[in-house]
Amino acid sequence: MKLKYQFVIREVAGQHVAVAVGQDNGSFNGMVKLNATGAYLMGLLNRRQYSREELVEALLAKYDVDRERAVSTLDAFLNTLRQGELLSE
Amino acid sequence: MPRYQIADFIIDFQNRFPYLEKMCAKYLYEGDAETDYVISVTDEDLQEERRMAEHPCTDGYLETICAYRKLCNVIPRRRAFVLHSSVIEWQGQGIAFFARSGVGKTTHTKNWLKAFYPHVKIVNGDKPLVRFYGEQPFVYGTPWAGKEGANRNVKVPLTDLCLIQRGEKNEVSPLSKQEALELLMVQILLPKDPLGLSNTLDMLEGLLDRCRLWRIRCTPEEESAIIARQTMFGE
Repeated sequence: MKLKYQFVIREVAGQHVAVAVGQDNGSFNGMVKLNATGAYLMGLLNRRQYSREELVEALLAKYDVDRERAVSTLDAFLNTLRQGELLSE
Repeated sequence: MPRYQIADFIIDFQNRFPYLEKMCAKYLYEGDAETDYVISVTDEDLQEERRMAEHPCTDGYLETICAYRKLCNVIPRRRAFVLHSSVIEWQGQGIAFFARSGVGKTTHTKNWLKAFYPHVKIVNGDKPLVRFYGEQPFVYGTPWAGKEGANRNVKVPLTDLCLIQRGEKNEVSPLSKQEALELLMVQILLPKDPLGLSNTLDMLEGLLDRCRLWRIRCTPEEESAIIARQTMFGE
């Protein structure tokens, strides 16, 4: 899976945000708010295509969590992206 | 072609309709500094702008809107951006009021202008430019100033950002950075290029760090400005 757009991912005023690059601004809705884990995952996906399993492994490598927790965190994050129509699978 | 100085950028609008010159007359530049931006609007741009317009408009008017959109897309690379807000100057400080459309930022602005005449002056009633010099944001009047067109060709430090909301009575309270961030994100134009976009986010953070942030709940009466100023400046 990969992101449909290129994003700029930043922390602004303590809030992680991702903003799509090159989108038409008429709609003003290009900002995604993220927690730290979401920002980490978004950063990975912003660089290249990943499989779900690779992302689970990446979470396990970075955070002290068990697989079950990593999977549920990832799925929640991916669902948010799907709802925003930001993911192509 | 005449050139214009807007937010201290020297701009050559290669306009085809006279409306732009009339609108920008106060900003005419007659010096010999180099041009920072050449902005031209094509027939395709005009058609696209017409498609997005809510009402029928003349070509001359559409050209000005389109030219400004183009300008606002390129200036973030040089640390400037358009902030959809109404800005006044008081004691050399710039105070920006922003709100969802139709809430009454124009009414609240007018209340300040009336209540503190002649000490409060308009900077721009709708689409001023903010430009950073080092860490300090400044706000500039521009010819693009909304329906009523109130603007002055001035530059003042931007010190206060105020969210305007309708209220039963007048109250002013501090606004958190997180709340302000979300509200301001929809009042700016995010450029399409990555550098401009990245700079815009930097500048947004700079605004949140540098400016005092307020929530003004207000009625449409003039008293709202008096109460707001008392709370914000203790006078």
